[in-house]
Amino acid sequence: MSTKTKKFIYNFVLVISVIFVLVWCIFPFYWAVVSSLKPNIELFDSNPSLLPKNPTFSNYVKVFQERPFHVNIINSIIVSGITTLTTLIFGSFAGYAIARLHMRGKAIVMALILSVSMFPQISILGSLFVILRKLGFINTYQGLIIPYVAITLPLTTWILQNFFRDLPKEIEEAAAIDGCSRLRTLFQIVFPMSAPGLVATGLLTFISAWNEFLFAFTFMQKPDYYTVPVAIAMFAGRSQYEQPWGQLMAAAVIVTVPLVALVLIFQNRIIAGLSSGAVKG
Amino acid sequence: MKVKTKETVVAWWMVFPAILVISIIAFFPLFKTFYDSFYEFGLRPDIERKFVGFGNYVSLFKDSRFIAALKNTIFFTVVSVALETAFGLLIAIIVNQPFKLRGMVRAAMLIPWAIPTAISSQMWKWMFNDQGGIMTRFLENLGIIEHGVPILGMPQTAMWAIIAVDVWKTTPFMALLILAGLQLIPEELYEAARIDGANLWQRFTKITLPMLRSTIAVALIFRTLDALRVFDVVFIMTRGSVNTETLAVYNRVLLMDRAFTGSWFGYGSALSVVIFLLISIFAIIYIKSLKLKLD
Amino acid sequence: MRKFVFVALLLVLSVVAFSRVTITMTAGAVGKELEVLYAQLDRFMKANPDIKVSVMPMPNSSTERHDLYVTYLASGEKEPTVLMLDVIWPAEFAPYLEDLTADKAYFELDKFLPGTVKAATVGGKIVAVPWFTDAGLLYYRKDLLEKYGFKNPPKTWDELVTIAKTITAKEKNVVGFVWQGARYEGLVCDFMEYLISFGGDVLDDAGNVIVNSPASVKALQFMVDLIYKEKVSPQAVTTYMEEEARRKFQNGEAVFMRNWPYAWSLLNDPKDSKVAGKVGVAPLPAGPSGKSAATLGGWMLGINKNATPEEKAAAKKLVKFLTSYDEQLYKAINAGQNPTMMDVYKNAELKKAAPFMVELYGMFINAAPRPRTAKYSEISDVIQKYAHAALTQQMTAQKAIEEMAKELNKVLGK
Repeated sequence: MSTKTKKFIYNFVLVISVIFVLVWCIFPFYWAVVSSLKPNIELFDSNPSLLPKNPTFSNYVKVFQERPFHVNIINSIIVSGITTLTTLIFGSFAGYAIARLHMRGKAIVMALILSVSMFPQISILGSLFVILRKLGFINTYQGLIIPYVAITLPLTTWILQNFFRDLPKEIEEAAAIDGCSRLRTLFQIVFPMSAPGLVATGLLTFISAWNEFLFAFTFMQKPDYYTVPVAIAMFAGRSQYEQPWGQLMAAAVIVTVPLVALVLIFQNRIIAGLSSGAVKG
Repeated sequence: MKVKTKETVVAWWMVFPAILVISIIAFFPLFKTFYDSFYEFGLRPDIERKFVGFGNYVSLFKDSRFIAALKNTIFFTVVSVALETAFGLLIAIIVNQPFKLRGMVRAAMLIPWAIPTAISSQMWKWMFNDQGGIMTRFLENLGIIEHGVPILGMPQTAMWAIIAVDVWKTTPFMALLILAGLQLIPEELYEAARIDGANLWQRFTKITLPMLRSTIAVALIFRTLDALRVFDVVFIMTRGSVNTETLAVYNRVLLMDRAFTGSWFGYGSALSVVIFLLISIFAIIYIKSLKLKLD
Repeated sequence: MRKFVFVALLLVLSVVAFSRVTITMTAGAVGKELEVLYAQLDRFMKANPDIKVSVMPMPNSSTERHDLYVTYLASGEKEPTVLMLDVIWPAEFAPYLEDLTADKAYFELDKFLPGTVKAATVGGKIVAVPWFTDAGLLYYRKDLLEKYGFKNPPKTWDELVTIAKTITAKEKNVVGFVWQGARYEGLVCDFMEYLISFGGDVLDDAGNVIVNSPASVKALQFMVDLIYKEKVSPQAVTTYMEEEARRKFQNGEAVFMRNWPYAWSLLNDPKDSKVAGKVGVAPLPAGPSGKSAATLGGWMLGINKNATPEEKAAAKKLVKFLTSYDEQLYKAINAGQNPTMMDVYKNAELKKAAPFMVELYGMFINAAPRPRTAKYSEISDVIQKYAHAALTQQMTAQKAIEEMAKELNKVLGK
């Protein structure tokens, strides 16, 4: 097969695959966008149309009118943001220690860190509520941030531990010979080299914290402190039974689009920024 | 010797914050769950605790509802994790190729994972609905199901629908982690292999897969751990009816629905411990078979 | 010395003036309902300046509300002071609720719908005050029935089947009868209606399991036949909750629907509904026993036993205020929630603003509560499991009832 043909096949397959990926990921979201723009009477048609016949923004208006949704978004940003930063720092410290430093009982430490993720959330809810109440953390940001850090640390620590271990040792050893402290090595050499890992775990942590419902609902009972998932659960129609579908879809769009935009902006920036500090050769 | 000791001290200080947070949050609840599993009691103030040793565990394994939930959970886990890993690997490789708008595709790829579970499960529930459900319409047109058949109301199809939704939602998670692993494979290795005359398949099996082994191992552990505890998507789509009830759904019935009605809390705690042990078994299997290094 | 006394007096006075009791209450987060509640609380706090009430909104899902109460009450939490309770919860939460039996006269409970007071009574003790009520109803398409010569809505289940079959044979894209058949609490509501109208029941007055009877089998078999034999209900009804049934009916694709009163205003909104103005409402049909049965729904207000005596006193005042004649009337007119005080239904203003509600009075009076026992949620779980298994043809109706009775006996320890 000539190189030209090979290239053609490669490009063809690539394009089809990319289209497949986009359709897979986006179609349900497209459906949510379309539904959010449909008036109620069109929403549950047994012959659903792919485009709204009479598009309207009323659902979006209602989302912000019937509750202070912007306050909920801010709460979510604060909680998820602080959680992500804290988890990345604690997780990378622990991961680096396990990967590179000498200490006894590493497997036990890793198992301990993993243990919190091995129980169904329901089973630790009651006891956790009692602890947080004793600490006075109910209806506070830290009352959510601390549990969130605890449940996102396992993945972050395990993944970063793994990535740090696979990095070429020579660069770190060279830095040590040059007199770099462990911490400095971590920040200025290891981080840039494992940037993709940090970005991946950072994103996953942020999204996990952002979408978490059970703890947010149980530990934050004052409406001013509601995060986005709790606010969405409170969406109501004119009675307890009615599901305000149009508003739910509008909320999904309002919440997802910024997340995706954030990823777009930061993914490339962060990787570029971190890599530019890497020591070459 | 001195250097090693100093290093150990630094190591423990670095590990300390993570262990501290986890201890505060997890120690009491986990200990209490283990402790409670050896008693028969309910949360009502008038019900007394009765020590039953391993009694709850014995009853559990004689409980047909538990066995059914166990089978459903393991089926769900094996199938969805396998599919998510395969698709995740595929998508990671695709998105690792250089092409225009790659950044956009990488961002779009996160959408299923980014939409709050409550909303996406409701959305899919509606898409599988018999009236106006887009998926139902689609499958009818393909001739896979007859008109008027409720996909979420039949034992043969309901679990598959739930698996499909979970795969849709969670593949980005696997893809993102595997992509990170892919990005850390040095380009030089591929260059050298190309020079040596290795073709695409050889490069994939001799370089990519081995270098991804530990990343895939960790991703598998966490994905499996979540799959064995799956709750939201099952509860919202079918409430566990038509034989889709998983361990976590049954666990909720025991710990919440029956918290004040009888002496089920110890039994429910035993179920929580069994879930924990099940996850441990899977984790150990992954660690040993994929040779994941922990020290 | 005088200065000291003066300052001390001022301090004491200010402490007295500003010593307010703060109580919290849970409430549905429903838009209109919450708006009305805030207006009512405003009035209450103006009339009682020493009491401050803050609201804890709850999500729609009854399950989530229930689980939140379990977590809070089990940990001895004294908030919320006033709890909004589903009509099926008093027995389960009784150990955590203040005994209000002594205050029966204070709350004027003899003026309330007897069914609702019964639901709030556990072992002879009254633990909650009914706030608003609900009952299962039959909705029908007036226009379709007229078109095919049926002057009145069906009085018996068999009539309903006949009418449905006649109409669906001629009308395209219309099914006969939609109801709630998914595996959840709503299924128990529907099931009880068939069960009682066929002459069966789950528990007798002494709490014995009596569901294993020929009448019960006939009732469940009838539900199964609606789907598979008579084919008047689509198979998908086994995945329907309230909203799925409403949407189908609202799209004009069903002749009959069993649902709660909430659907009425939505069905008649010409902006959103394809059947606005074409809908009628009637009591559910009677079964062979000649009885028609409607399941009692609605919510009540209970007081947290863990609260301090001052908080409990304030809570009692609040509960009395919210369930009083004037406030129930206000709530009925503005939030569309059905009053639990019988006299309110005679009010002329209500008749003008919500004639539909006044018409339903007969149904509310006769609505039957579900089995009242502390183990209700276990009983409900068992009923749901076997009824749904029969509806999805995983077992015969006969076997389902037998297994249901067996497991109910196990649950109740008999």
